[in-house]
Amino acid sequence: MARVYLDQICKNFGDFVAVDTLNLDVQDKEFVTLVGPSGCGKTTTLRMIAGLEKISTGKIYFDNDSVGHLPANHRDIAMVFQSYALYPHMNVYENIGFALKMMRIPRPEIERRIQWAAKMLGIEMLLQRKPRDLSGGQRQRVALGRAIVREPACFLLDEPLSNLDAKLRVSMRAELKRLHHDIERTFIYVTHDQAEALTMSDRIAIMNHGKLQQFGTPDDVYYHPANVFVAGFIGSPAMNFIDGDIVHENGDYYFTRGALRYEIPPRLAQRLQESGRTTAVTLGVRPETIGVSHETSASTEANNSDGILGTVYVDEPLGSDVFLTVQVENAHIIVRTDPEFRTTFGEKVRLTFNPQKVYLFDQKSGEAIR
Amino acid sequence: MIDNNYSQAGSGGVGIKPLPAPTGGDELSTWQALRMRLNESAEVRAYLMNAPMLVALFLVSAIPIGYSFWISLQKYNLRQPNDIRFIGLDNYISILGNAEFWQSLRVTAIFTFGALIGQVITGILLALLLNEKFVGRGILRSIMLLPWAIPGVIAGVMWKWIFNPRFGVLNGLLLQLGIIDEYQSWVGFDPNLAIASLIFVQVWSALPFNTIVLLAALQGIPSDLYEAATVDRAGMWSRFRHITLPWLAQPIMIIMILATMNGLRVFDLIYVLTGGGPGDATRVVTFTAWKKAFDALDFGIANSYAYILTFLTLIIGLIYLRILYKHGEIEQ
Amino acid sequence: MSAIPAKPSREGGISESLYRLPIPWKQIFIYLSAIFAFVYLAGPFAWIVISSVMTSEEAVSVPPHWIPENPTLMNYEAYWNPAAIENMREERRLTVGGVVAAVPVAMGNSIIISFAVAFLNIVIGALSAYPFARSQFRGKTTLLVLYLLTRMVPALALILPVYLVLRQIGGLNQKWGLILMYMTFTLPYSVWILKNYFQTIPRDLEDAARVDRCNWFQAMIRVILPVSLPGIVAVGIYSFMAAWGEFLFAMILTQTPDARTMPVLVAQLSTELGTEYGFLTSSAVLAVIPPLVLALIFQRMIISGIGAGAVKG
Repeated sequence: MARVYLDQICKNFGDFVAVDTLNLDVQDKEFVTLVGPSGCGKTTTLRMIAGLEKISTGKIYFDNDSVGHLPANHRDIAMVFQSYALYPHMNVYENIGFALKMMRIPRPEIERRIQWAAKMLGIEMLLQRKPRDLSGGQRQRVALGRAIVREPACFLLDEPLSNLDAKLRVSMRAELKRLHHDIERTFIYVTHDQAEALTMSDRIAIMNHGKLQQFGTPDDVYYHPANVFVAGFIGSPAMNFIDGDIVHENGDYYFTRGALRYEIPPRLAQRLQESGRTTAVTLGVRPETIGVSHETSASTEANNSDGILGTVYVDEPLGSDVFLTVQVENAHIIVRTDPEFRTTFGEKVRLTFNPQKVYLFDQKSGEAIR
Repeated sequence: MIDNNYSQAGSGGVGIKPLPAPTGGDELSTWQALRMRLNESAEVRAYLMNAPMLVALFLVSAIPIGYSFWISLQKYNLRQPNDIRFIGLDNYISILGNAEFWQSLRVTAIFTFGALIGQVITGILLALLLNEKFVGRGILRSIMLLPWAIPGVIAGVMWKWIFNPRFGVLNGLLLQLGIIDEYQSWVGFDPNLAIASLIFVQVWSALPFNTIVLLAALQGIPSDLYEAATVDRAGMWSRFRHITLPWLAQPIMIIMILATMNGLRVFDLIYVLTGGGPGDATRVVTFTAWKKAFDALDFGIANSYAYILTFLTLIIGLIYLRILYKHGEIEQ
Repeated sequence: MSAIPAKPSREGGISESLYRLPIPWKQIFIYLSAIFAFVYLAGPFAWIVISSVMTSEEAVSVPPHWIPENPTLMNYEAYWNPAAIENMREERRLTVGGVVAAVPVAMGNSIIISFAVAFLNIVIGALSAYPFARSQFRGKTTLLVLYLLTRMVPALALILPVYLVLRQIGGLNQKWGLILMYMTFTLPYSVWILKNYFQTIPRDLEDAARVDRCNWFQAMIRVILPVSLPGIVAVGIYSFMAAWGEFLFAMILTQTPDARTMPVLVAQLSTELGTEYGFLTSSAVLAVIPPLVLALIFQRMIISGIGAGAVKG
């Protein structure tokens, strides 16, 4: 039971800055996911919390105790590794009970806890097997079992699902979330998969190049991305970004790119007015918020009240949805729409953006204008 | 608020209230902290763990190495125990000007080179054979370990028994097969034959190791390389020449290094099998040094011999390593 | 009609397959080579074994008796039952008596020394190799190169100083003197082999052990070492073999039978036994048996160990 508090954590490998002045406040019993592309410092951060990696500068607190100087075996944590790291010379029972044995917990208690964990994970019948005789999914459960018997202050999970096949991954995702609910402990979870982050977490910390980009609830990071990176990383298919300029006419603000003209909704227009910004912005629209219709009139006007005119470049039916790639000016916009909406390549369509759900970013800094 | 990233996220009241930052310090006594730091310090740990090894090496390697080099710089003949004194490089100079040294160096070179060639060829042949499928391959692979398991001196005694000029089984076999007309003295009469016989035994002893190394490399050759070559109409020889041999380049190099080192240092075999004879035909450098030490009791000269050999070994070893690791890193 | 090509081509097919069928040259060549290799590799040892179950007289017969006419185990029996030589002629009994007494002692010495060297190599080697494989510390490369450099000096150069050092510390004619000596010969290689083996073990395993409440030493003992069993066995075998077969130092450092090893004894016998070839060959066979048995038991590990080590460099 612990709050994990990272205070100005830095990690350098020689000249390379792996983690740069990271602050993070993970509250007791919270499920926090560190997510980002590979090399963003998320695993290094987790290993520093575990005590497997020395912190270069900064402090780590478990509740009110500073633990940054303690090696892993003196911190009350359990960790699930990407490779599972099961001890090949021990059977499942010994694997799960190993830490308890090292903690000198009495035998009957060890027995009780192993049985409890095995039952919880549905691996009671595997206890006598060696890791090499287990399937990927079973190994994964054993790795989890090894962590939960510990009843530690904090669980650290390093991409625990990435070695599973796609189907198993989805079902284990749900089980992990349920497990977190049942055992009521702090979870810190590392993944590069934004879907895992969105589905499981109480809060998500998005990292890139060793820096924290945004820390917030799944809704937060999805609906209010702090910058272009977060906006592009969270959500699938990724948000569409169109670079362009702001034109101020008759009191209205327009986003323009060539013949494309889009009236900035009042909410954002107000922000623009306040900041007086006019050039070099990026318009962001999520594929699922774009409306699309067949072009019925013979009009060739790029923008009218019906929306923005574009040409179908390719369509990808997925059963439940269709991903349409539409060429507007010289940009490609991906639209997620109903499977009933059928088009042919080269067909003219009109796109409508939901004014409540468009984003503007500073092209240079990438920060959201909001 | 301390955590500015957190506030920046603007979590619109989702039930997560920011708490005050913790204030706890490192609650350890100085002693505990010191112990922990020592325990986790890579240097302390590494040298502590290497301590037994360092003590042993210092005692029976470092001291003797230094001391023996010191002796090599002295006039140190136990026949003249009252005349032991420092003479600088005189031992080395006298050795380099001595025909006896050059003769034994020549013998060493011939033996080493012959054994090197023989080892590479026999190793490749046996590895190629064991890479084929045939009934009894498993047995042959086990049997192959035999020469490896036989200590050098015992191998020498064994071959001495086999080479015996009066009743040796080699003579008997070759006579029965009609290859020779009368019993030969393999190691005791004809200098060339004696060296050849020694090379033969050396090659025999080293064959298992060399074969294992080469066989492991052979088995690492992806079969689609051969398939591609076959599709490209490469014949058996050109497949061997263009796929197998280049693939074996590194293991062959390793075999050559070890064959050279072992060839330069050969002693047990000579001691048991020929005693340096006939005449001085098989008196390799190590054996001459041995004679100097234990017949002439001239340890100064003997140790100088040893260091000349060390120097040679180092030079050759460095050349080989240079070729093997073209970029010069020792740790791969 | 001649436009129908079926018939001639079918005939061609048959004659072609007939032509291909008969002599599998490649197979014949392979089996001939295998037989040759078999004789070359096993023949010499087989002959010394055969000789050892002959009487000394039969062993030297010309032409050689390929199969013993009166196989006898007398040459072996005498070692554990000295009474077997009771009814020999007086002068022969004198020659043989010493051998019969010396071989069992030397066997015992060799076994004790070799096992001790193997065991100490594993313990000290693992301790030393572990930091090389797992941590960065100052002087790491230097130390490793230094270890290996000590092996560059030929044994011959070290004899006199080693003799003097051992005499100083009372290790002459002692088993522990030889053990100490052999350890320093073998340890640098053992450290090298183990370091390479430890490096193949995933870092995660060690980290998992640390998270599971082990300090670094417990992580090594309870996780890394058990997982490294093949490497440890390889080191054990290698150092056993090296200790078992060493000759030069054993000869110089043991002037009395107390610590004399088999190679020294057999080499001595080959010059001192005169025409007692039966005992010469049987003692040689005995000197080969322990390493041979070890090699056969662990052949898989040896083969994969040598192969992997050498290919990796």
